[in-house]
Amino acid sequence: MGVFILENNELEKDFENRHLDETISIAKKQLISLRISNQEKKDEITVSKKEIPEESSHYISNLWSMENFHELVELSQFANPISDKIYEAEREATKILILEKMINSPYFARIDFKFDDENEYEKIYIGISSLIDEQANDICVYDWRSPISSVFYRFGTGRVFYDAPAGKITGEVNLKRQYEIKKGRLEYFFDADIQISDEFLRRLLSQNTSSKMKTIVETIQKDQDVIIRNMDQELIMVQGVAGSGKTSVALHRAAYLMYRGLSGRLGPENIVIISPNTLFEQYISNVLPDLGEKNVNSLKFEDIIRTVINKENIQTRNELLECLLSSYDKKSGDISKKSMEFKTSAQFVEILNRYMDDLPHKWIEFRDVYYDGKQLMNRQLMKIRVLKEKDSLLGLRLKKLEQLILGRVYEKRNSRIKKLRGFVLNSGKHTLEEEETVRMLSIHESTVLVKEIRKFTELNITDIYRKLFYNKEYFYKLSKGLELPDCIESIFDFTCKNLESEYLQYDDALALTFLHLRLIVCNEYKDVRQVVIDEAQDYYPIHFEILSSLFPKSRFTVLGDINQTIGRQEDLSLYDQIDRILCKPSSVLITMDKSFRCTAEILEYSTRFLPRAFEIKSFSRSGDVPEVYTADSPEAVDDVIIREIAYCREMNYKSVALISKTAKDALSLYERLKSKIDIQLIKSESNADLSGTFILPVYLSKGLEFDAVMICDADNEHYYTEDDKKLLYIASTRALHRLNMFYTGIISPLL
Amino acid sequence: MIYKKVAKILAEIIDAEYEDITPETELTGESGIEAINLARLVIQCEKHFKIIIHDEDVHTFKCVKDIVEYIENLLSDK
Repeated sequence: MGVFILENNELEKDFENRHLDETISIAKKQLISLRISNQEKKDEITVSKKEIPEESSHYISNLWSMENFHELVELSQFANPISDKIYEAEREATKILILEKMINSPYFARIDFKFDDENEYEKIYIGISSLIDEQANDICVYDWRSPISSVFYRFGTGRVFYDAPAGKITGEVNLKRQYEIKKGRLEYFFDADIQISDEFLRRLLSQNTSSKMKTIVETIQKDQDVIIRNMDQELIMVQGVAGSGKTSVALHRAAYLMYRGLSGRLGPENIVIISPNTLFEQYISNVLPDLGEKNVNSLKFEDIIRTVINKENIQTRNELLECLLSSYDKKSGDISKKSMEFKTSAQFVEILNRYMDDLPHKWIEFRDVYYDGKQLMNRQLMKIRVLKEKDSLLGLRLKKLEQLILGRVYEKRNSRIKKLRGFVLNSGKHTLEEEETVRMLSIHESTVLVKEIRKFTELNITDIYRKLFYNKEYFYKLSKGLELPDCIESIFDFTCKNLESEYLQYDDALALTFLHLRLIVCNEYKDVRQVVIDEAQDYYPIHFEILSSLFPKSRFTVLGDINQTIGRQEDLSLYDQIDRILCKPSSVLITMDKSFRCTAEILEYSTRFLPRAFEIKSFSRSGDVPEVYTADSPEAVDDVIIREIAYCREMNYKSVALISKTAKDALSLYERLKSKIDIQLIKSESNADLSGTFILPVYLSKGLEFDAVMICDADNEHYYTEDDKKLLYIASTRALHRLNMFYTGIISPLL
Repeated sequence: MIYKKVAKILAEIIDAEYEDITPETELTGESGIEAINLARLVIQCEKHFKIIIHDEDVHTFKCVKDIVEYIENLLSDK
């Protein structure tokens, strides 16, 4: 890719080497003093409270997980001064981590920038975090997220501008330089007058994938940067093709929001990433420290469900997908798919809304309340009271009613106790322990009373949901004017049967979560101001309704690809739906149509699985043309596959994936191959270390990338429907360098 | 400590050793203590901590730690 350091550039090279050494020595000095101060703080903390673990770095790091929550509650009883100290120590620990990284590589770029009202060009070095020489009062390195750094991502040399807190700032750039610095040594640098040198990017992309997700902080493209730094819209939606860097953008955006939060009033607790799976969570913990951030809260959607409805035995999304894809018993697979589609739809959400409105009219059985022989509350008046008050959730209104009733009971307590004492005295027994006996009687009757009251003031969500499906006629009445699926009767039967068992289906769990949030309350996340969501196409309308209730005051960044759905079809109307449900004053849909992951050949091959009008631009990098291999018997195909694996190893591809349709198929392939070649089966998303040869089902491969991909069982029995087409698209776009297909029998009509 | 005091009161009422009382010792329900003793416990806790325990709440005291929590909440609101 050319010589970066020209002979006549020795002067520049000397300058850069000296500058690098100076910068590193400043960082080192800061690191040393920070380490001392941090140790002192830790000692103080240990002395003042021995109970607090010395290693307290996880103290505030994840407020959202249940385990840490209890820890937090436990810790919160200690005095505030100590927790302040812990917080300080925690912040220092983060800073130490960043400085250690910066000593290895303090910056990756430089722009020479001249403000319009000045005469000289200033050298702006850009790195993962800022470095300030306090003695000289000089900024040695600018954080990549600082306003001026955006110039590097958005412009070539010439006239430029950027948005600063005080307004738009204009100026001129006459040099853009990029560095490769490793272990404190300058390996090379080069100047480029366009945005980010395509050569540099191409070289980075052609490397074999490492086990960890890479940061793209050095190679962020202009349109990616626009998304990462957008603070104008309250809802940003991104439709990005496979390999366009959605997940990277999501992570960089989270890091950017954290950075912006520091200057605004946002703390880590105000920003949440909704991660689709465990793997994504590991990406977060791997990547964000390299971006200068550590404490980002991530929340898995399934954890949200579990926390809200407080149940453990729930079908996971993966279990549902496996059931949908592997269902050879056509009928049962069909009905669970139809049920899923219906119960996550906007129509069903509307039915639930109507049902909730109708609850106090029809389903809550108010009863007159008597105490001490008198009527305290009249059932009709209570109903009117609950119906009249419309501004809070039904569950809250009913709780308020309960408080009111109990207040009236407490007022009457003394007179009631007097009467009870009369009974006890007249009965002639227990005279020795009169007070205790009276109290015992009072407790007994009060218990009966309050249980009667709670029959109508407490909402049992599961019962409420059941009633809806057990009353078909009522259900039809509620859904007047809405379109119901043809097989609605079977969905009734299917749901009623499922609701009898302890094991909750994924779609029913979603509906229960929705009802819970709209009827009772969930205040836990009300302080969240920014939510970042990846893989939006995995979510249905009801998911977004849930997110909207959970984070009422938040802005959203939603990234997805309508072509990467599993077990269903989706189109661009997805984003209209999201827009309508989240209902923010301002929103924008941005398209990322350039794929950086695959070679041009692989991309070209994958587009056959897309709707015709869909266009993907490739970042031109070429490689082998994908081939389809076949053999007469399964055993013979296995041999071809083994030869291909051997070839990939010869080529020094570090990660190789054999992708099958379902977990069942993956297991059977693994059983056949494991004795012949070293290979691993991926059964869940827990594995983030992807160097080696793996077998996995398509739905677990989402979001991952491999140097080489082999699609197995590419025959007409596995892949033939429109849904299967999407699976093939996902599988084939996982490949960076090499893609091949294998089958025996009759080739899939989709190939 | 509130727990200690409650456990002592309870031990005296049911004529047991203080050490045998745990936060999990059951108060209501089938394996709970006798109803009259529960009433005694409530009365004495009210007197000692100078609080009012509503009779409607007593059924939620499944075990010792529940009444302790209840008292703690009342005292912290004061």
